[in-house]
Amino acid sequence: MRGQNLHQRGSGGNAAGAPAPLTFAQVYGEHAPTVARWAARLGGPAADAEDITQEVFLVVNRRLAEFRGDGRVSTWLFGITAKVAANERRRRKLRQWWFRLAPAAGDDAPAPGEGALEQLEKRERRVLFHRALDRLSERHRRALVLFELEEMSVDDVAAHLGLRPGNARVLLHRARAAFLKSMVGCELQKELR
Amino acid sequence: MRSGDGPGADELVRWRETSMDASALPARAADLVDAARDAPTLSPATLTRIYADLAGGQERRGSVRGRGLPRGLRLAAAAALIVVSVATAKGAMTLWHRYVAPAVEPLRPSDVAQSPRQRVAVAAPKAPAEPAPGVEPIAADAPGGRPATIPASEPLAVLAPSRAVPAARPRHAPGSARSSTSAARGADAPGGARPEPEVSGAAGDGAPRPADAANESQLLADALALLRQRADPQGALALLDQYARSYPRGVLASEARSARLEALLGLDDRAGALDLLDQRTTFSGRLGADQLLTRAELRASAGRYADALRDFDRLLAPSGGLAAPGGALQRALYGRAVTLGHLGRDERAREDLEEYRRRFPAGPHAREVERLLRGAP
Repeated sequence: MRGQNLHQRGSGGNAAGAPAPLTFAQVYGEHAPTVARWAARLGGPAADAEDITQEVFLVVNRRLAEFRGDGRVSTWLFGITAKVAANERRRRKLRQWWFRLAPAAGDDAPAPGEGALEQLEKRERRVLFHRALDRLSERHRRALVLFELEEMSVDDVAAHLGLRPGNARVLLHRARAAFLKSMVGCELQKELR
Repeated sequence: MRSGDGPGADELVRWRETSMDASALPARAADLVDAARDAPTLSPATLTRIYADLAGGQERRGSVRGRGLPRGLRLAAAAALIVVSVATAKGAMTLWHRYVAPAVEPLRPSDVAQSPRQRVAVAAPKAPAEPAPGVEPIAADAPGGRPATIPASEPLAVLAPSRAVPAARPRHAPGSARSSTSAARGADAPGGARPEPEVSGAAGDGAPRPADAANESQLLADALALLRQRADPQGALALLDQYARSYPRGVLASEARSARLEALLGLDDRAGALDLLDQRTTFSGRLGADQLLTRAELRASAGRYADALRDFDRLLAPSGGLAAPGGALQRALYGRAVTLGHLGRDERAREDLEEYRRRFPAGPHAREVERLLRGAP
């Protein structure tokens, strides 16, 4: 699915051989799980992945006709998901600041098949990861999620971020360095707490 | 697994694929990445439900709270909010100027202080309580070998030159102070005719509003309007009596007391004004200093020189509130000099007069001070 062009991937075509435009149902059916995963990973543990996913597909539904089809569907979807997730994070921060809520503690959903202690430790690590990620710029965040969590190749990362591979590599180097620095800061903060 | 396909891609190895010591930073980062990768994602059932909602045109849990609003509508809402805010602020200011400011601003020191002094000065010659003890020496070694003297009726007569001093006009209501003082001055007007009160356009555009006992500030504002715009201190006193009955512990009691003082002085009821001021023990702030000065002058005019001297001394002390030069300071200096003269403390009286001459060479009492220092009658 990844890397396919909308028009190339159409199920049929017209008499002139032009690819048939993709329908919303097709896009949803093929990409919804991926978008949901991106939503969870880009939004962080406190994000409402369901909310983000729905909003992404609302945008898709509205703009599907505008999609020119000269790029990857997944790239287009990733761009939308990243923006929606970033907006959601901003709103969440604002709400937290405004209502003086406790900092987002992460999700409480237990990982399947693990003991309580393991679950707790994993949850803490997940929270720490996103706390460190939150200190990064949006570009670094996206690059890191695609490379480390989604395990995309540098070329795929470049394609999803609209960069040339060389630039993507540089960006990844910087993002990883920034993350390690941020992680150390978060660990130190956790120790001091 | 290597991360990239192009040249140099082998430089980037995912943290999860590094085989470093567990304490190394990349290994710790790999731990975090592992945990983050295991984050739960949406189940197929949830995705199906979302699709059903979207296909049905519904939005789950208001997930697009207001985000679907057209940009124009949002701009219009923002503009409406700004307009409402501005209108509210303007309304609040209008209410302030309409109800609160008239009750508070007239009680500023420049206003309260000037009018009573004017009235005391104007009314001085006909004060019944004025003693006439003859001529008292102020200094034995007056210039020219002749003893300097202060005329017998000085406490009031000495204040008389202030008649020539124009009353300060309050900033907020041009003409209001002058109207009240001119009313008091009416007795001195040629032919004894009482001058027409000057009515300012803002508050004096009609008969005073009926007092509304439910509105404390309104009641006080009405009293002040009567007093200042209509030059009707009697009516103002009636409203102030009503105020005192309705609001014995009103938040504007202090302002009401100041207004009463002004009304009593407007009626030339100096005894009543002095009674009112005698009841006070604290005179804080600039307004308090001005009222203390008024009391000192009233006490002096009533022949209570020792009491008056205490007030003058208190005013002219370094912490007396009259540190800044101005009308109040020159009045206090001059008043104390006269009071001291009546108490026979000529040396100190001369010091004050000389101090007055030094600091206020063109002051309203400068000529009188010169006369006293020269010992002229």
